[in-house]
Amino acid sequence: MSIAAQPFRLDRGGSIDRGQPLDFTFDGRALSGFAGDTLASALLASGVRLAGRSFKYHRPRGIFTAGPEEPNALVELRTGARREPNTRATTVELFDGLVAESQNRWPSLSHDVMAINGLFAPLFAAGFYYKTFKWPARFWEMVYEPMIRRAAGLGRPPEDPDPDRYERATAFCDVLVVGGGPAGLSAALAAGRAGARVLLCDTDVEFGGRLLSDGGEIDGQPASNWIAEAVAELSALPGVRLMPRTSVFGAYDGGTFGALERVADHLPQPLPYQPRQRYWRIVAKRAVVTAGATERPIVLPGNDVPGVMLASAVRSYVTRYAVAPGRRFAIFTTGDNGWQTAATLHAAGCEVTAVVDSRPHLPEACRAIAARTGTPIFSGHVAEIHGGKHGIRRVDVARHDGGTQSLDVDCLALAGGWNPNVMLACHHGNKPRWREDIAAFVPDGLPPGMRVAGAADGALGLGECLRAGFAAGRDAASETGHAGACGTHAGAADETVASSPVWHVSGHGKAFVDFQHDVTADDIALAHQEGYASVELTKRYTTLGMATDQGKTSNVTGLAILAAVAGRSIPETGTTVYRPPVEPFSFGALAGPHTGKHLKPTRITPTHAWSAANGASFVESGLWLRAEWYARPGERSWLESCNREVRAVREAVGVCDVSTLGKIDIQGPDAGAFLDRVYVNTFSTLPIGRARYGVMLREDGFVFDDGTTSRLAEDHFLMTTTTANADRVMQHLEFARQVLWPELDVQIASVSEQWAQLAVAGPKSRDALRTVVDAGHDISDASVPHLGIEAVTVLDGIPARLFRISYSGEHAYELAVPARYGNALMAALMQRGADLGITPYGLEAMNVMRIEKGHVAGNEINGTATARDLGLERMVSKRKDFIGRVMAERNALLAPGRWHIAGFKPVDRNRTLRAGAHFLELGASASAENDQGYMTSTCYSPTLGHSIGLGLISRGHQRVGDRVRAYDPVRNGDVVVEICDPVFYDQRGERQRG
Amino acid sequence: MAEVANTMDERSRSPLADITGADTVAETGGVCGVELREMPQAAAVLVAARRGETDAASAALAQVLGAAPPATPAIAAAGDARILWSGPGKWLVMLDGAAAAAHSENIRAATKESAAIVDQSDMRVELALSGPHARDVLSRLVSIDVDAAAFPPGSAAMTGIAHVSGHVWLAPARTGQPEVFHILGPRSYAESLWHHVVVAAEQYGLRAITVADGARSHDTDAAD
Repeated sequence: MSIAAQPFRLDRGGSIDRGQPLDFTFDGRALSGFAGDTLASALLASGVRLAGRSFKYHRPRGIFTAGPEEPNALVELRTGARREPNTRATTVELFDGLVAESQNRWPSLSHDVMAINGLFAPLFAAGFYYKTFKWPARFWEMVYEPMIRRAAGLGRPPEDPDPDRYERATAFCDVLVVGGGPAGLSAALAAGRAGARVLLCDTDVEFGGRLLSDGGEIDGQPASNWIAEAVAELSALPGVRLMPRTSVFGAYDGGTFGALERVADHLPQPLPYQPRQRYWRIVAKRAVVTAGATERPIVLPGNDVPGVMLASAVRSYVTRYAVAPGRRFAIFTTGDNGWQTAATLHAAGCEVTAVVDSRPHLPEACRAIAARTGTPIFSGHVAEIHGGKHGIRRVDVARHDGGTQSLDVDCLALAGGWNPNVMLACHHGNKPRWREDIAAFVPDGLPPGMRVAGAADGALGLGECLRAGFAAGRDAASETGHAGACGTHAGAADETVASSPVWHVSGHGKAFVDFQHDVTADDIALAHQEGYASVELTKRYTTLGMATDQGKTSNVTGLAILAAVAGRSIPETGTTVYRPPVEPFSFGALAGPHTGKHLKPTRITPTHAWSAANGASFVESGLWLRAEWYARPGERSWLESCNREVRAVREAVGVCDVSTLGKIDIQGPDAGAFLDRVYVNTFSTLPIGRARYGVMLREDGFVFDDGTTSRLAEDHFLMTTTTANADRVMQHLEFARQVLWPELDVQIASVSEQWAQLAVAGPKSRDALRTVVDAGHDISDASVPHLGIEAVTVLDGIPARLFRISYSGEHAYELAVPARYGNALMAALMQRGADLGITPYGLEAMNVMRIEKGHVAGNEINGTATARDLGLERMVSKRKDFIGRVMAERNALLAPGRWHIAGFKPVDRNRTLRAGAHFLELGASASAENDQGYMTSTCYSPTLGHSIGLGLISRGHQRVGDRVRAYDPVRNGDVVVEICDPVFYDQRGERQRG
Repeated sequence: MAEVANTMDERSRSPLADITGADTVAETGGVCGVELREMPQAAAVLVAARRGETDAASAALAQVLGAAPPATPAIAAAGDARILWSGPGKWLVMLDGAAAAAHSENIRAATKESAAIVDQSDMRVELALSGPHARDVLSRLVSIDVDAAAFPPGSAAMTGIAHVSGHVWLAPARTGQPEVFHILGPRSYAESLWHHVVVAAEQYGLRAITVADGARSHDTDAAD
């Protein structure tokens, strides 16, 4: 292993592990770092300053921050199917063998020809696309959009399927603490000691927040000791769960939060079976948000040159990662914070050329730092930054006394004050409140159960963070009933954090507000000038804050500039709406394991194993996997198989698994009365041991479902429903029982899954049944007539129910056995019925036979058809009330022109009918006003030898014999058809009764 | 009528008969964090009280089974019977062991006046989940709180389990026995349910065994 040089690595310090060197590549260049580095810190240690190109102008950009707010240093991480675009180098934990590529440049990061966009910058100002690419309209899709997409943009998504696993999980707690800095650790300690169930989430791999970079003293010892003790104590508390690498990205209703745990992102690839990321839904009785604050930059000409960096980020690199992000530093600060950076740099032995402080009068503490470190002070501002892709060359300083100065530096730290991270506090629509004393927005009006403490609440001093965090944790725990002894908070000095903001130093060059979307201060002024005065409109016109970083370093600055341009105060200007997610995360995590064929569950029928072993093709029917046909060797098409299966049923006997039908057990003294109210026809008169076909309506009078219901005993019925409506009918009955008629004594239970049910159909069906029904059970036509039912046993004692019902139109039965025996029954029937020519048939053959018999199914019961429309009017009882009765008598549902069910045959019997074709009078033009209805179901009828169809057509009941066009412009179908009775086969029903 | 099935009956097929178990223990560090078992199909009857007869049905069940049926989402156990709350005035009584058939007839007789009885022995697949990471696995599958504080032994819930509706419970405590969670889902969904439990558990070192695995290893033993 050859370790590449790290010229900017400091000799001492940092929480990196110098004993664990790691190799990685950036744009193919071999580099090295140490365990504990981020990709950004390792790049800086190696002297890489140019990290990416900007979105629109392709300007060279460097690493700007040391955290999740990073707008510039976006890379493509990993390769192949694991390539992940737009990954923030500042949040990527370095691992051995890491491969990263820069984005949005061609041919290379250093020589990017698209940087020519920058020369045409005036054309690319805010609203450029809206104004320019308007004409001609069709050019948008064909020319402009592809062109813009090529020129502007970020990383490339991977093209191969994601090889990694993702998980979704749910967690519950009394107190959720978001952010593990000093305030968060204090909150978790207080709540945990009090006995509450606590979840402490932090985006970082280590707890400590800013303490990891800023150090300090807590309870008279180094902050790092306090962190270690706090984490050790929390780990030992049984109710506390620590969740590092976990970003809470959204606050939702009812104390629910969304969070993303990066389980394996710090590894070259996940361990065996390990998910890469886990999406947590956290349900918290109380939440304490201690999400800290983000330092804000100062907008000034040339501020996007590599080497310009947030002052707090400079401290992070020096202290936490032992990296000097430059050789010669200048600091431009609007408050005390920049001076802390000066002290840190000095302590690390780095050269600080000057601190430029915008305040006319410096606090004594700052003067003391200057004196102690020998740092020159310039009272004034940085007027312009000069440099290019290799970084800063020089900064020009304008002093308050009128003098100017040039500083030769390669790193400029900006300290513009702090923006509390108010996002989670605002996700319910609350607007933050402007606090003039710290010149920042703080949360105001929180979601129920939420507290905010520490820097997120504008408390920028360490002592205050520790106190407020502790109090919030203690109070939150107490509200959840955990008021145990929790000791006292840790103590620290309240350092001064005074600041007087400078938002924007105007000047000649480009001054960027939103680095990631290339929005400048001039763009904001332009938006205002063009009338986009509201902050929401400015955001959309300029795209300020709409990039993947969600404007963490730009939103507040942008609206401050807008306020200045508009001559309003910042609170008058207001903020845009805060929406989740706080940080970007992958769709993979949202989907979890529910992808591909596991998007939805699959339901397996009881005879699946037999069918799979006997040539069945399966089709998804809702969630079910059902046999559609059973191909035999030599059959060239599904139609051939299907026709054979139909003929077998019509001529001998077939068997088909119909277990998917819904089955509902209905018992109780009022069961008959209940069914009378549910069905249009009467069931209370049904004799015991008989089945009857029933139709039920929705409350609005349209047909809802149909099926046969049998009476097993005086107070015991068994209903069947269609497969598709099994769950809905159950819901409907539960609603009727519990809400509409609680006075009825009825008990209902789904038994759909209890029974395997086989249709045994055809002239030889009784003979086939005889082979499996145990001797001693009489299944003769006298004992089991048409619509008769019988309790029998099969295969040597298995209890079964035999129903003499027919969907195919043949002499037929349905035989139900407990589901565990379904497969054995199928196998036995097929084996023992071989001499009878017994044939398994699938969904296709079943559908053909029901069309031949004119039975309506889901295609006809389509939510717009009434019982009358479907030819079921004579079933409707006039002597009782039932669900849907009143609404079914609305005038519109009785209108003579309504579409009725009818059968259709092609006049030229060789033509093929297709479902979906619309009916037109012969000679009528194909227009919507001539529409007469449409074909709902079609098939080739092997029984009749030609194509047949069912359809809904205007006044269909009166039009048997008429001819119309079946017009199908989508598939170029135009067939003259003859209207006929919907029952094509055995209209008198002699075969099923015989 | 409810003949209780003999699970060794070769005509009988378990819901996961086509599924082979899993063992990821070696690949994940050698420690078994989760054990998953498909349970043999117990006899099960749903007892639904007649209108206004919840107390009478409950008392009758208590008399026959020797344990009071829960009045809230919970499970009670007595001997070979488990009584799972399934809604107001509804219990699913699961009967294990040889006496199941007799038991089920006794229930029918005792509740003749107060409840409807429905045989549901074949409707479901039952999975048992144990091991130090069982709760972690459940947190991937259900959206309810299964923490020890909120879901102590004997707790039960009717809830969504990886997009499938079913029951989850933690078996009533027995001294010296490890905690075992049970998942009860519809039979036709068995393979999907199994898949999602396995996928959630593999990372912790999973040993998963179906009823069919048990039968296969039994065959192998016999061959030896």
